Amino acid sequence: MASKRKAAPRLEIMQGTLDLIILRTLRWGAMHGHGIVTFIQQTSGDTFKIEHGSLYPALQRLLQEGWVIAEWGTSSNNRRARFYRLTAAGRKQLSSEHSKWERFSEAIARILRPGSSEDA
Amino acid sequence: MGLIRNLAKLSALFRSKRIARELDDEIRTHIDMQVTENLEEGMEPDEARHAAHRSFGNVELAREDSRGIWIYRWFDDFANDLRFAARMLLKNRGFSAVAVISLALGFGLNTTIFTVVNAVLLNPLPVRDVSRLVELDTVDTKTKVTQSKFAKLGMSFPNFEDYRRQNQVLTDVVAWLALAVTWSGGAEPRQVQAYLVSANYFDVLGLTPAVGRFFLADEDTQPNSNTVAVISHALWTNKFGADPSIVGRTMILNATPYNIIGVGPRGFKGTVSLGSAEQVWIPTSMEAQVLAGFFVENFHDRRLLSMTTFGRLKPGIDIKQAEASLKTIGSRLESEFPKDNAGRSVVLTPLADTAVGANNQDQFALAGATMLIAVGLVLLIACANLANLLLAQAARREKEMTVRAALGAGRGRLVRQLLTESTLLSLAGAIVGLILAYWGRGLLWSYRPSFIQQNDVDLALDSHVLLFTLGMALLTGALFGAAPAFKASAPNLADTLKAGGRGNSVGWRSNPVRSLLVVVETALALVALIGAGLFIRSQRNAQKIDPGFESEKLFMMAADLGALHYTEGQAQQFYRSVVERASSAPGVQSATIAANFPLGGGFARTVFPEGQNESSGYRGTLTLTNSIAPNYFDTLRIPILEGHGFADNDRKDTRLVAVVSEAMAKHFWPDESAVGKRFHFFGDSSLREIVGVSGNTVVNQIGDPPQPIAYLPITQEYSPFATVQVRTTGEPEAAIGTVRSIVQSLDTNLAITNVQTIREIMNQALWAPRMGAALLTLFGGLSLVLAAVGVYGVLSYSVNQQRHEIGIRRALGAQESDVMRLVAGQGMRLAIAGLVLGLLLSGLFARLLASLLFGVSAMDPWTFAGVTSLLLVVALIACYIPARRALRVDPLVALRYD
Repeated sequence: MASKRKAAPRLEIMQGTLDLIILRTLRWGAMHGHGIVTFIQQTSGDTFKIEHGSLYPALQRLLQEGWVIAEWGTSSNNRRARFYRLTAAGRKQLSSEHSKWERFSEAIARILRPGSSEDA
Repeated sequence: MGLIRNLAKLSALFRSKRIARELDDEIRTHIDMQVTENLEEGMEPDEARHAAHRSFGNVELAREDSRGIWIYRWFDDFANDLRFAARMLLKNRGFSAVAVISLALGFGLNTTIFTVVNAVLLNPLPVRDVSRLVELDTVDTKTKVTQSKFAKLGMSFPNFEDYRRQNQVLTDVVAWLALAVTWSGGAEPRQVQAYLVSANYFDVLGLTPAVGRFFLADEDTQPNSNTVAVISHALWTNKFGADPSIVGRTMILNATPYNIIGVGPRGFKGTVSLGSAEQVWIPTSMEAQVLAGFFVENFHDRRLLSMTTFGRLKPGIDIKQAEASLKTIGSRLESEFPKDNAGRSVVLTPLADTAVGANNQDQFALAGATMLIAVGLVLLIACANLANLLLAQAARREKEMTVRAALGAGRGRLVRQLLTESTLLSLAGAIVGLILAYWGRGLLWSYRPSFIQQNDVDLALDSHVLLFTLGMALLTGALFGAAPAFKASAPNLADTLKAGGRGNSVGWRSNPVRSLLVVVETALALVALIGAGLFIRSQRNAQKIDPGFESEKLFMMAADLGALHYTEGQAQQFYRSVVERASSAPGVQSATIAANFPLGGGFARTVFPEGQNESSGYRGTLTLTNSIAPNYFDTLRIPILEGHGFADNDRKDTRLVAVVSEAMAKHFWPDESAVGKRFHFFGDSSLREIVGVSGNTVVNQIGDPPQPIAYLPITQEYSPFATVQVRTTGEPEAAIGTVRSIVQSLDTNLAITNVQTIREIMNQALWAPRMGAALLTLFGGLSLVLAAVGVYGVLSYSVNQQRHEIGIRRALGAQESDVMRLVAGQGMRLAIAGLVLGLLLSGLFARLLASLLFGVSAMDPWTFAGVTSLLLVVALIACYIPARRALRVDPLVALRYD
């Protein structure tokens, strides 16, 4: 019963960036899986299409690397849910990934920007 | 941090079910939350659920991907560890080689011995539900036995029939009798192993035929007419080329044609684990065709304990209940037939425990246990060496470990890495060991005892054996790698990274574990060597034991005239011809006939001295009998101590005479001469007069106490089965062929068997001390080498550590001899500690061996002293070399050494 990924209008997210996004989301505090997804969709202005399911393998990865830890707690509407939180290593990873990303996007932007002296 | 993470990962693997469940909960909660959200946005319940699932995506995929992350990681780490371990081992080739070789020897030996023990003792019979099968043995409280070997006896055929009919606790009872039959019709007549069986034999065992069928229930009821036979799978394959149309073919056994009705299942060769796999089963109603002499005359006699019987317990009944119930039948039979069944009752033994014969099990078990312990010792020493080597290795890699730790590798990671290395070494050793075992078991099997000579025991490296070896390998790697791994993974960071990194190590205090290992190794080597020494002396003694006759320049061969249905008259004529013709053959000094051959056992009967009989309540004694030609004692050079032997004119119509062994004379007439006394056998009222007393001879086993034997003239006590025993002037091998052709020429249909020199028989009989000596010498030698290497290794290392100190001492004026004494002293202290421990252990261990030794006390002082001295010398040598190396330390260099 696979639901296929729909093509545009929404953009798909690559794996590495998903990690970064999740880490960034958790910077604001502990959240459960649904909360993370909701936050991302709201904050990105609904630009990103995330299959909610793809969150979980990503979370496992983050757990393995030791960048987040998880604990069971109660959600706002009294449901038992698993909350994820950044660790110190996770915070370090976030900042290094963040700066890498900024450099990356700046380089791309420079390439794509209308040329200065090159254009005829 | 690293350790915790790694432990978490490892435990995650074991908790994967729980993780999967938690993930499912999480996903479910997530979807529920989305549904709630959708509902709040105003969707209908169904729509809300659909939308929630759609936005989630493929649940199964999410689940699998998540799991995959964990597993992938685990495998990734594992593969990395393996690769690194392999690289490290290859880098230190010398070290790895030594470790692998010593482990291979340890494993190889263990596997070899275990294979043999497994095949003979542990492999269950390939029948259905063997735990429910029990053997019924007769025990006789009225007859004395001179050896515990005769405690459990067979069952008489009429008693078997009664037990079968009357019992309530067994679904059915089977009787069988093993014998050899002559199979003719081929190029040469040959003997084949046969079994007379009741028709229900295969049914009770729960077997299905490979081809054809088994016996019908009534196929053992018509005497001499049930000429049907079932052949074993091996016989079918080897001798009939697995002919698919085997059913209906004819086999001529003892000159009677039998119709082959079926083939037994593959791998089944009867209920005894020793024996040729080529067998044929025929119904008990054919007994007159295949038995001869005393056996066939008395087959239906209630007294003759000829059959082996077993049965299957009814469901819900255990062996104790069954035995109690059968014992009541036993006492009923005793009161019904007081003469035949006097004092007789029945005991049950699980059939699986009778695979080597109900009376032999203990001896085999003891021998097996001894061998396993001995090889276990070698393995232990090899492992101790491995641990030592690993420790030394770890010490040398201190720098590497430290650097890795500083770079963030958790302790768990390091431990795992080192354990992988040691386990890899172990496994390598195990694989090489298995290869050694594959070759080795053939060698070991060639040392087997005579009574399992013609045997197709399947020495397979089967799953038991492989599991055993692999299990040992993993255990060894983990156990003996653990301590070094833990030690190495906690290096003192600060100290080691600073230049220098030497402790103020003095002797054993600095290396307690390694020193302890050396002490233990030395102790074990001592134990093994003492075992070897004791067995060597025992073997020499055993070979010097006087068998009671002259065993050199003597050979034998056997023939079964009953198989060809000779009448007594024809047989006696045959025997006379053999003696006449063989005696005049070149190289032959004299030839004789006897029913038994040395160490071949024989037929035993209950003896009553004159004046006593069964009804008076006197307990007769089970005594071996031997029917012989008159020149027997001369030919075998058995001395006649009193009276005289038999003469040609002792015949059926003259008075019955006997010659008894000295042991029998002393047993029945302790304070007087036995000559002139008379006795009779059970059920036979005719008295036999003793005309002579002969010297004792070995009967069953070398080293047994002397047994009573009653020799009877073959003309008065006919035996259809006889051996020809020939004394030669020169080497026996030269005349064997000639005599064989002479015998064969008297009847070309006769199958001649057991053609061998008596010396061969004696050698085979000494298998236990011989094999024990050989094995333990091998083990002892190995242990010695390994222990010496261990001492040398520890001392070398110690010297290295003490370079600084030695340098200082030299600089301050210490002499060469002082340094040597310092170093060697450390080593010798360890060695002596080991020797003391070893002597204590030997004292305990040797007691267990006592029953396997001949004429040597288990605490033999010569052996103990000799071995201890040997070890001291070897230890001294092992200490000398490092000590000399210590001398070469240049004081200046040492002082400067950082």
